[in-house]
Amino acid sequence: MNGAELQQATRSGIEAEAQQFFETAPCGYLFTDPEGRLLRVNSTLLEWLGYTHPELVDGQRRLSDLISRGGRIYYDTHFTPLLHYQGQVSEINFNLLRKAGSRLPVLVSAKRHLDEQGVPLFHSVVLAHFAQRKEYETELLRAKKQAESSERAKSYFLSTISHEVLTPLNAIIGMADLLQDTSLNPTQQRLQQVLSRSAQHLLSLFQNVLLVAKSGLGQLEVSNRPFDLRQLASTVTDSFRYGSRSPDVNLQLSIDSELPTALIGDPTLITQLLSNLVGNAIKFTDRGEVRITLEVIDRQGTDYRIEFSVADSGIGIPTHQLAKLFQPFTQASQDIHTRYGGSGLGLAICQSILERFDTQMRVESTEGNGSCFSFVLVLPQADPQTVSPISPPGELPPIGGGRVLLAEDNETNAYLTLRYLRRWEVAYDHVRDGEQAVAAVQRQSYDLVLMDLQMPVMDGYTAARAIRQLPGEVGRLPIVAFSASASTELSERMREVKIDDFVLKPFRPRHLYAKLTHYIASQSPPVLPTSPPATFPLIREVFEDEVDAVQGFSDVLQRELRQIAAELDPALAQGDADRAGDLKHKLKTSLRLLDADQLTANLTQAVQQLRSGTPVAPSLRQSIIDELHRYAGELERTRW
Amino acid sequence: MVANVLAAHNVRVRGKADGQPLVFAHGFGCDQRMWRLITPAFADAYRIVLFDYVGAGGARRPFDPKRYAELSGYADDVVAILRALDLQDVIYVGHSVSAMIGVLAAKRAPERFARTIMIGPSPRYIDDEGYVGGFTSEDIEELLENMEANYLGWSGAITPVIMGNPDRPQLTEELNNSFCRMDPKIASTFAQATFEADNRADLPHHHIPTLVIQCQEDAIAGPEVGEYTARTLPNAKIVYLEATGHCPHLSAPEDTIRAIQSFLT
Repeated sequence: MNGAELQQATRSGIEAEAQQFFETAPCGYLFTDPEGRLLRVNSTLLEWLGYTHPELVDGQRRLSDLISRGGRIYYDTHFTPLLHYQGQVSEINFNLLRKAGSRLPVLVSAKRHLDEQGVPLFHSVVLAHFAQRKEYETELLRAKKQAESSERAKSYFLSTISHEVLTPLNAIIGMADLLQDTSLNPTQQRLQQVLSRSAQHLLSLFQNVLLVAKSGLGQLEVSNRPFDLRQLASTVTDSFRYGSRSPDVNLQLSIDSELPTALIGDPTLITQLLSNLVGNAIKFTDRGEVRITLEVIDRQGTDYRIEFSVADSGIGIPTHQLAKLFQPFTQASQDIHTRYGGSGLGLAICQSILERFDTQMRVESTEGNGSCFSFVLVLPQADPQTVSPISPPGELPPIGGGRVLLAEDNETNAYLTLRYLRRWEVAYDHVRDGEQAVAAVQRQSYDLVLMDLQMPVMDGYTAARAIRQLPGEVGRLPIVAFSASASTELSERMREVKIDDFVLKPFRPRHLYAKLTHYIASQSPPVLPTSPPATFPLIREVFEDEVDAVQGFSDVLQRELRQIAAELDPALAQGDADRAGDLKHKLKTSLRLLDADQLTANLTQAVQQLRSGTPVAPSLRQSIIDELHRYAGELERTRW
Repeated sequence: MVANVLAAHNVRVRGKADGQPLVFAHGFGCDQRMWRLITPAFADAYRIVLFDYVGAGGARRPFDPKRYAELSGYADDVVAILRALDLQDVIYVGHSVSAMIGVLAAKRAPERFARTIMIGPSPRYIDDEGYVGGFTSEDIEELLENMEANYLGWSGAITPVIMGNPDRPQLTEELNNSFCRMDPKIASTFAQATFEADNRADLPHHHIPTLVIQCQEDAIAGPEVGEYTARTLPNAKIVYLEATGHCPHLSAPEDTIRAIQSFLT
């Protein structure tokens, strides 16, 4: 043979061998037309399935006909769309049906082949035998599910127990607080302080447990709002300064002068981080100092990179125990627990919080020479005006006005709440379930309902929903829920039934006081600055809290509301349906932004009455006009 | 919460800004990209609205297992989207399970719907006395197992060889996941809501003019099911496409476009 012949012989030899490879490869190979009808199937697959080539390639039978019916749904809803969308699919698991009826697990990969104009020509499909791997995967999946479910069970358990503990703890802290105001002799005062401090300690412990449980359940949520980091750091430091059991430890706080007053972040979680670190530092330091430092590392635009560090001169941590530090319920050694107590939760919490901020804790420690824990957060600067000053301590002055309905079945929480209401000179009625609450608001007019969410007969959500459905003014009655959840935001469920606000259980008197003064249109203006109410959430959201823009818009909106009120009044009085209709239309977007559902409903009712020739009752007209002015007034008073 | 709803469902609005709204609702398994071959044909004359259901594509709505255990939860989302955009006179195109989600949404906000177009609808997938849905409960069980198996995440070791893209592994990586990716928990809840639903009793109350588009050899919603749907709806007609399978908007976009156009004009 000459060279060319040799080449030719080689080529045809390879060609024949390639055919052989195709037929006998350890994979199933097949081709289909673009509609999925089988065109060619290799011997391996035929053998696996127990068919002959003519049986399968009969011009009608499709690949999908070989798949079990349940898998067929997956084929049609996932595999085919994927193949069309991306031109190829890889390794989708199906059960094929053998001729004899048994199932053959395979991994299927497919590719579409198009001509140069993009017209589909055929599909090539590779099927990998999968029985053993399938068994292994199934086992893996089972193990994974089991692990997840026991992890979840643990988290649920923790979450439930914490909630259960928080309610009586509420009572203990509240009672201790009330006790302080009675005349006590010095011994009793000391006992009261111990009681108060221990209860606070227990509270922070269970808040930690709740956080761990929530992060285990994937429910740890991060809020972003303006806050004063300097103030936060001093408050945390002070709380340890006065509560410290080691008088020989000197607590130092140093804050970088470049740190802005107002930043945006999650003050609750940052407090938790700092408290846990400072608490640990003090616990493990018998004498010497604990230094808390906030340092601006750099800034980019309005973003500040801030290093938080807590250094102590305490016992330090041996190198080989560093790794165990961040596991929940684990302490560096059993000895630590015996000598210093603690739950071993603090650092695990810090770790999961920092994970949510995409950062981590750094530890430097020398045994016997103290430790330094630090972390870095990037926080954007906020407009200082948006940060509410922290209320000055001291006795809260009486509110002296308003009438509140308390719906609460838990006697201790009710006792406590009512005790404060009396002290702040707020009139009240007390009912013990949601049904009574709905009845009460229809008998008597209130400025506010304080609603426990879990009550017998009718729960707080149902009651809130029922109140919202009442006609007239009472349907808009502010409702503040008592929530045992550790979340800092209104839950979806609360929002759904239009609960306005909530107070955490156990409530802090100052917090309850702030809510009361906010919702009770008191004769005397509230004495204390309250936290900025999240009024008009929709407007804030639309303007993404850009103060200038939203302020400008609010001005326009106020003018519009007042002007339309002035025009609407005569139109309603004179029965001018068209004019009233036009004005209603003009108001449409504004009312939606104001979330003014009730006003919209009243206005619609009035316009419909006019259109059907019925005059509008003076009370309805007055309520519409009053409401328009009330919204304008509220916009004017709102600090954006 | 206008902005919220729109972001939560990755709502995209395009086409003619003041045109009649044409809302496309994808089915179980994929996301709004399903419609990419169809929408350009309508962009000049209609305002096109696309969205993703919870867990699909770019949707960011948090998953609530209770809310989404039944189709009504998905219908509430559709209504929320229509309300957020304040859409009136809507032509609603629903593929597969979205046909029935559309029926439920129209029940809640009938004033907003002008027409409905159902591609491969089925009011009930599981056989019942005197009714052929095409599936048994065991089939649905098997589907759920199948979905689970396919979400384990294979190592991908064989993939580049098969696809002939060993030099571009990132391509395979990307392709493997994007289009039909859904959190397995959400996907199995959606599958159960879909395949365990029975909306036969809702059909007689859906008076909105409706077109049923039926393919040949659709294993998921066969001709009997499409005919049952069209017959039971008080104001519907059915059109048969040459195309085979369950996704004519992917496999035969021109035919699908023609069917929709002739119904709308």
